[in-house]
Amino acid sequence: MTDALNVNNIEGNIEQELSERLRNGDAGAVEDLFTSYFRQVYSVIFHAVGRNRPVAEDITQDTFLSATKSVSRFKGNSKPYTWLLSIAHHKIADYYRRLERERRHETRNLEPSTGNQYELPDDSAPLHSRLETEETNDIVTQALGKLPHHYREVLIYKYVEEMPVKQISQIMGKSPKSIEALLTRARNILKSELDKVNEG
Amino acid sequence: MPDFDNEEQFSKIIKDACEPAAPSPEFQSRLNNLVSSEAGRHSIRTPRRPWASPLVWASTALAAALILLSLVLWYQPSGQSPLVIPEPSTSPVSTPTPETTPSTEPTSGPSPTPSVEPSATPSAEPSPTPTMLASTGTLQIKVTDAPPEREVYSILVTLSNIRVYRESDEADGEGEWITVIEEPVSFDLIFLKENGVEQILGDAEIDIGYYTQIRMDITEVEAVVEGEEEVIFPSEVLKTAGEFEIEEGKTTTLLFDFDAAKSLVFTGEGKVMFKPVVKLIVTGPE
Repeated sequence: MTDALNVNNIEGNIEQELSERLRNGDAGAVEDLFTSYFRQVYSVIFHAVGRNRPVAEDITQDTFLSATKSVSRFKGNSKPYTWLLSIAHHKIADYYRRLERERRHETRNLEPSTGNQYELPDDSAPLHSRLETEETNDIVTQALGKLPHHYREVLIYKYVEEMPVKQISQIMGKSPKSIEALLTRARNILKSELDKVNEG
Repeated sequence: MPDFDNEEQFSKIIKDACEPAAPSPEFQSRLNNLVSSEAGRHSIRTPRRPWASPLVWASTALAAALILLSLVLWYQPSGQSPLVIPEPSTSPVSTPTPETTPSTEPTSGPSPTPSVEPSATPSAEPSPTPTMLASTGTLQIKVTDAPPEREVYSILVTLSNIRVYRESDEADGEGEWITVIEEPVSFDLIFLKENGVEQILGDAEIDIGYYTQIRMDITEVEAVVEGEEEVIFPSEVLKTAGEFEIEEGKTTTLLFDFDAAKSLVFTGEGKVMFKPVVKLIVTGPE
């Protein structure tokens, strides 16, 4: 217990110190931010863009470079990690907007989330037995991949990152009520996608 | 079968499907070097050279395009003019909140007090009972309140390609359009209202001179309204007449004061329309 408390205090102190340095416009603090949060930020982006590794790398790079350039605008009203994810959120949104523009021009479905990262599950077995196997993750991953990106994002922040609604609201730039409405719709749509697999 | 209505089980399913993804060591190393290099660059501040070329550096003044998203007034029913373009004034913005970028967190400043418009329709006295004369009828006057507001959870506006028009220095010359912001930027009117924040969409150094028009492409507006699925509106070009000057070494600020409540119009047929109501406030050069 004591060790856990010490770890939490240390992490809290590091975060506070980072926040202070960022507020002072210390661009070097972004290097420490990178060391502390790179893997987490990458993982969130990776899942948010439907497990597309090249896209995740591009967006992660854009996020940290953008953070370096805009460090002077950090006001300290949110945690550094939240600030980083809010930058990532905008980069993800920009990416999907570009995709949509390209899709309209080329009239092709370019949604990357249904891409070639994994195989389709075996449709011959009933869902309940499939769900009890390791393919559960694949099925859920595919269903997540079919969601619009902002639904996917909000589910990741809520259930994977275990963030409170207020923090998600700061990241996504939406009101808390809007986030709650988004969460409800995201869950319903995901369940509907999983039911489609069930009806198979 | 997992119970998807069970929050705990649902959470576990999502977590298991989204296990932490490991970046490749090469990518991590490459990005680490890039970030260090960028951080080093931004730590070095080079002094301005006042003798720099006027064509490139004379406009040291920044034209900061600020979108100040105003407090929501009471919702007005349809019939409002889509664009409210008053003459630009030099009065400072009434809301004293610090600036933030789209990529940073909101401020925790005090929420500005919303102004309250007078209630919709006053009650009217019924007409008096007419005298019994031939060729007259009875006039009955009724009043009713405006329909109750529907809660708007978010109005996410995406703008791109913000341009300003610079008048020619010569009397008969032709002016030119200058792009200030090219990349799309987004903001949520309701979020900014509730948190009392400003959002900087961008800034640029542009040539000194006299400017008279602003245009921006509203590429997408997405609203979340009580009782509705997400409502998405088609793109349009927002044109605003507004005069401002850019002077060397000074800052001119453009504040676009969106009226969120008036911009979202609920028609009698139960449809929702987006007709932006925007006021332009110019401050500077200063």
